[in-house]
Amino acid sequence: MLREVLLALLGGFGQSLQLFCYTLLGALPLGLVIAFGSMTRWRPLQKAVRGLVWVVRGTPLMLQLIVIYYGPGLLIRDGNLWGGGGVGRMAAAATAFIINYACYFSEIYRGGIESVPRGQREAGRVLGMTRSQIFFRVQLKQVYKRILPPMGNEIITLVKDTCLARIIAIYELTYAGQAFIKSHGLIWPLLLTGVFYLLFSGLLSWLLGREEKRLGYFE
Amino acid sequence: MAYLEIVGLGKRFGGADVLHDVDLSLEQGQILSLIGPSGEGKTTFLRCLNFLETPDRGIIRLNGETLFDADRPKGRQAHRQAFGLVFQAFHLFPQYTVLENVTLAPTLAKKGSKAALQQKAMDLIAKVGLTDKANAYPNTLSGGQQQRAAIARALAMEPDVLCFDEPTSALDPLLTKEVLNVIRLLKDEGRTMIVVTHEMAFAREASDRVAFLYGGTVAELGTPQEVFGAPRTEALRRFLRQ
Repeated sequence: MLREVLLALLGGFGQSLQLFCYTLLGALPLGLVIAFGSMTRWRPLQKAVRGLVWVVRGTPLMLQLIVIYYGPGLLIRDGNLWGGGGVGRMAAAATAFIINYACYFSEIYRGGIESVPRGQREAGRVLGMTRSQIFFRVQLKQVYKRILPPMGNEIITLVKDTCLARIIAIYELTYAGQAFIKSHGLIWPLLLTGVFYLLFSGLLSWLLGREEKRLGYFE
Repeated sequence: MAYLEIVGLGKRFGGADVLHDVDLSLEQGQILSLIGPSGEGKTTFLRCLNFLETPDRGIIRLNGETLFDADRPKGRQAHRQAFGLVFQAFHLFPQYTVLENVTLAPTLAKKGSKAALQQKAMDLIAKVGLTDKANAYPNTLSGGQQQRAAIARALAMEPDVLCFDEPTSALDPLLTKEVLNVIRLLKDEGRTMIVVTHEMAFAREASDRVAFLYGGTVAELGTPQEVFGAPRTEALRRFLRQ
């Protein structure tokens, strides 16, 4: 039985891990784009982007998942954007997660960028550096150091948020554990999923802590 | 015609004239000290020269070339890298060593081969007396060392005129001395410099010209003997008595 449970949970964890990785790969760069949008001096774009961030941060991720997965099919006849299978569901979940996390990340990026002292930019300018040189060669590493702790927080939250994807029938870790209640009347497989989450978030905390230490040589 | 000529420079912030009708000229190799109470436009003036602020009026001419003319349309200004600026708060790049701070901008501007720029940077670092700190990070340096590193960094871009914005205001007397000594050394090399300073002894003894900025404009201008020895305005007399 233990073997059967472990196999099922590993399969579920694989789905959770996939969603976790897709979300980071998409949301880390998209968040930066959104951050620049919310900081632009062109008012209409700034307003639109800040509006988007407000909506995404102000509504539950579960609701967003449902809207993104079922929405296209309801709005357009034969508009089943995602296809019926597991791949389509994962694509829909990843899309919802990426948009959601990118909005949270964008606020962290924005805070990080705005917290770099103005003198750094001015020093770059009087040395004849271009705006993009100043961003990539002077500000970026300082921003990275500053945002690492809040970013780590969000990433740990993401590990556990992946379980929301079950609402569109993705067979992720929690779902896999809970299935044994119905099929075998067993509760311990569900409790065992907690160990998976703990180990994975523990590994991430350790990696993040190491990275923070590596950047400790400057202030 | 003087080496550096500034004619009728003016800058407004929110309807208030921070600078107006600033006329100054300086010969090559001279030091100009700017003195005056805080909030009278000294820093704004340096920021205008370095184009951290765009002047609203006036002309900046260097060696016969017009670098800035407020009457020209925007985008038609010759934004040549003519000035360098050393800040009161240093603003070194914290994630880079002293050497990397000095080589970064010239490397990005492709001012020479990597080896040549490294060599030149080490020469500048030696000049400011930081050879043994070339591979140190800014947070391990004293304020005076940081400011000397910032001077080497500014020199690496080979500015025609090097500006200092209260370079010693964040330093204690001992560290002030080591920074002022570097500025004297640069004077002996014949560098053209503009120094905003509250160090009256330094302004009196090291500069060729002294300008007293008051009410957003140059209230008095002359040699140190003239300005300190025979102040003409009541404002300067009051300032010097403090």
